Amino acid sequence: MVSLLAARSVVFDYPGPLRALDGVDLAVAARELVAVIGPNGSGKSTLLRCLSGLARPGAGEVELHGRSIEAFRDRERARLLAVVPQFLPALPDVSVDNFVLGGRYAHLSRWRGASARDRRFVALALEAADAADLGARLMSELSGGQRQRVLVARALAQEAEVFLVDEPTSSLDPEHQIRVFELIARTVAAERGAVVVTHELNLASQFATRIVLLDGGRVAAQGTAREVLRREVLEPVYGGQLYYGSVGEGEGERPIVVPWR
Amino acid sequence: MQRRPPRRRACGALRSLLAFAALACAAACERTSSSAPLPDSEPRRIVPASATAVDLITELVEPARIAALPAQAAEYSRLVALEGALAGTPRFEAYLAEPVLAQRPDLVVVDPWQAPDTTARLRRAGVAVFALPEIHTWEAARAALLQLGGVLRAPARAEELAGELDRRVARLTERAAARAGLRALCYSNFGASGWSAGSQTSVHEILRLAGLRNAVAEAGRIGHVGLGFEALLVLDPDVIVVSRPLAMPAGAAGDRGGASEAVLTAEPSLAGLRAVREQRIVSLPAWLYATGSHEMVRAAEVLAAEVDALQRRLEAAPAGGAR
Amino acid sequence: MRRRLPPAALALLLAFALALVVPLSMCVGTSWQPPGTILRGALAAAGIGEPLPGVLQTIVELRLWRALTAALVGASLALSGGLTQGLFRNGLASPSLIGVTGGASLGAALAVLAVGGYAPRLVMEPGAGTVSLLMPVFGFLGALGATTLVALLASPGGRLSVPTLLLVGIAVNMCIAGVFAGIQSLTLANWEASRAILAWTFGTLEDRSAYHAATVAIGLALSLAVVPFVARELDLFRAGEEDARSLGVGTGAVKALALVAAALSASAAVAVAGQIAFVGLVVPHLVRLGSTSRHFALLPLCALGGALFLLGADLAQRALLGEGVLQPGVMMSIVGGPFFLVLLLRNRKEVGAW
Repeated sequence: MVSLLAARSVVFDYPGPLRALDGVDLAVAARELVAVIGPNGSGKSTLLRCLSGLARPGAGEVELHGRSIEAFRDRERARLLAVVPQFLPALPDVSVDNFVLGGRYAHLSRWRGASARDRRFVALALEAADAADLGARLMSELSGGQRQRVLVARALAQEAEVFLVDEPTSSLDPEHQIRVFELIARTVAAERGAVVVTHELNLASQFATRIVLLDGGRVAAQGTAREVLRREVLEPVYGGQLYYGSVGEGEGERPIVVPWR
Repeated sequence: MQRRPPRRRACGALRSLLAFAALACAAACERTSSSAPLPDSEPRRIVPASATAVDLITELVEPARIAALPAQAAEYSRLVALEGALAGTPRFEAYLAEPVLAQRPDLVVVDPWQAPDTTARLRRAGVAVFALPEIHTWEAARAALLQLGGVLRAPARAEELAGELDRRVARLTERAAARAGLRALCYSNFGASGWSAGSQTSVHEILRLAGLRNAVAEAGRIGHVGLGFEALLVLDPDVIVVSRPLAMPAGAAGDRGGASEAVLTAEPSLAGLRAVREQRIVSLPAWLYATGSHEMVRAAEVLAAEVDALQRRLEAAPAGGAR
Repeated sequence: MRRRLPPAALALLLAFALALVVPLSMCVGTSWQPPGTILRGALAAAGIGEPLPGVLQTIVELRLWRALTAALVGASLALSGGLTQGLFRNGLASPSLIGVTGGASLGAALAVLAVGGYAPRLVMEPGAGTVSLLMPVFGFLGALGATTLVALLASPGGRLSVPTLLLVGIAVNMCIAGVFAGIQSLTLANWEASRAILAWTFGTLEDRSAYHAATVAIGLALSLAVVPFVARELDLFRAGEEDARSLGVGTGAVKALALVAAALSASAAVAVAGQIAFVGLVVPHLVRLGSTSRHFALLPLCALGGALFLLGADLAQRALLGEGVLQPGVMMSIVGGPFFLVLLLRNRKEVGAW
């Protein structure tokens, strides 16, 4: 399997004594949804910034299509790789349409502006993200779930092959959490790859093709949900206050993990 | 017993603070306004603090009695004309108590606009300070000369000088007819905006003594005023008087009147001015242009001579419009 | 939702108002001249028709340059403000706050010193070649230097922090003011140089010539030419620099371009008219409030609005207070200071979160 995006022995240091990433390897291929889990401060978000090319690793390499990500120009890279950020500042007077159109930036020509084709991409992306009805709204008027779907829509409009998603479900109710993950899974099914950083172990269990467990800047484990979401793997990282169970049967059986004392 | 709420207490504190400030102010004012006793004996270490004071004092007493001179006097007082006299006298940069006291003066002579707190400090230190009156006219300059003559114990010299100046003013007035009716104005511009002087200024008095009409004063303007190109074009005077700096800046050779004259002659929109067209710009040395003392008589003499020379030149070449 | 004008409508409105105010301001001066006279004089200045009799033609031309200079200076400052606010993603940023105008002043003061304070040589002789360029060029270098310094100091680790920006801006401006005051006291002995620096610091829209108008026009034109290269990018900057980069914006190049353009237009304005605060702060706000926050329309609208704003304010103060009572910088500070305060108070919640 050819990986679209790969991190090789990535090391990253913030100013200070602690090492955020200490030799991380991670690869994502088409049709793969890689969930990155781990406790707070384990380096998940830093890994995502390194993978996106926005932070430069102190050592190691990030490769996009087998080529160092630093060799790409910003526009080139953005046509292959989309980031769905966790936070955005309030954008009081930006309409959803225009916000999503921002995702087309890397495809626009400087002098012609947005074409009908770009507009169509925006409409399709909003539709795919269940946000077709939001186009005319202002960004500041959206609820948390709507906002998250619009952010994914913008990444879809970008026509990228790899999606890097940072905690897409924080502050969403269960219904919306599932809808966002379904959306990402649908996207991946269309020959894309995604890396999703999340705290939601059960959503990862349900939707991820592979789970990477980070601990202290290192990969503590990776594999399918059944391989990673086990007491022997998680207890050294998360401690003993978890209840382990499972849902479904046969091939569809998935482990679940619930905080329980 | 009920405690006063803190807000009231703060008010009380504020009130006592204000009262204290008022008292302190009153005390300070009293000290400044009470004219300190002038020396009973002849002052031997005199410090003039302004160019005007330097003009007057160097006329009235021998150099040995002058303890120190303000730095600006080198460029803006009659020291310029004295050429090297008093070269050995110490200088001080600013009218501040410490540098002035360092000269151990027994009399300091100041202009009315000079820092009142320095004056107050000097008086508190026991130094006599004589404040000159405000001088815009020859009459006021003459009165100040006589008054200072008394303070410096040189009344005879003051009377003698006043008499001589009276004769010079009379002579100027006699010959003013030759310049009668000429409309003049003074102009200074250092690159951003132009300035001139209306009535109640010493330049106005210099123009008057030289027999010239001040076009700016006639337009009803008082004191030092801004004067735009448009106003200059509307007034279109016969003569424009500019200041000539003592030392020309680098690259200015040939421009007699420094920046102001350069503006007048270089600005395309002013080419239509009569004074520019016919080269009717005269310059006064900066120290005379800015004088606030009896030297305004000399300034008027220099100006009159310049204007007379100008008129002779114009008569010799009546087609003086060409440039 | 607030009612806002479409950008094209606002542009038309502003252009129309400008077309009224420019001639109107030319009617006012030492004497009122009827619009017909003004029109004939202006046409004659452009080489069409007979010039007005005598000195009147010159007077109309002086008023023409004054009006054009005021409009162009207003436009340049407001454009610089729009660029600055977009770049720093903050409506409280302005060319004067981030050191553009202070740096330009300092640079230009150094230019005065370099030529020995002989101000006419710098600004009055269009034929003098390189020398007459000295003031704007030094101003530009000073502006760029100061702004870069502020931007670097205010973004530790590459992330711009707004409170740091405001504090660093204040600190750098204080340093510049200190150096400026130092230059002034050291040049006190040189009457011509010190008067030139002083006169020039206060600035003036009086007595302007074609050369002045042309200097600002060039600065303005160059920065307007940058707009297509930064407009869409600055829109994307609003969600943060890193987000913009992830969408493919070459943020380094955009920041450099916008900064240079902001410094260029503001320093040309400062080199001609001295420091005039608040135009760059107020106008972008009004445009955003009234029409759009998309930079492709916002920035040109800022230029139009700034032209109208400064020219209108100049005209108003002439009409109310008479000829040349207040320096334009003084006037703008009196108007703009309270505006800045209102802005701060309206955004109190946001400011409180810093």
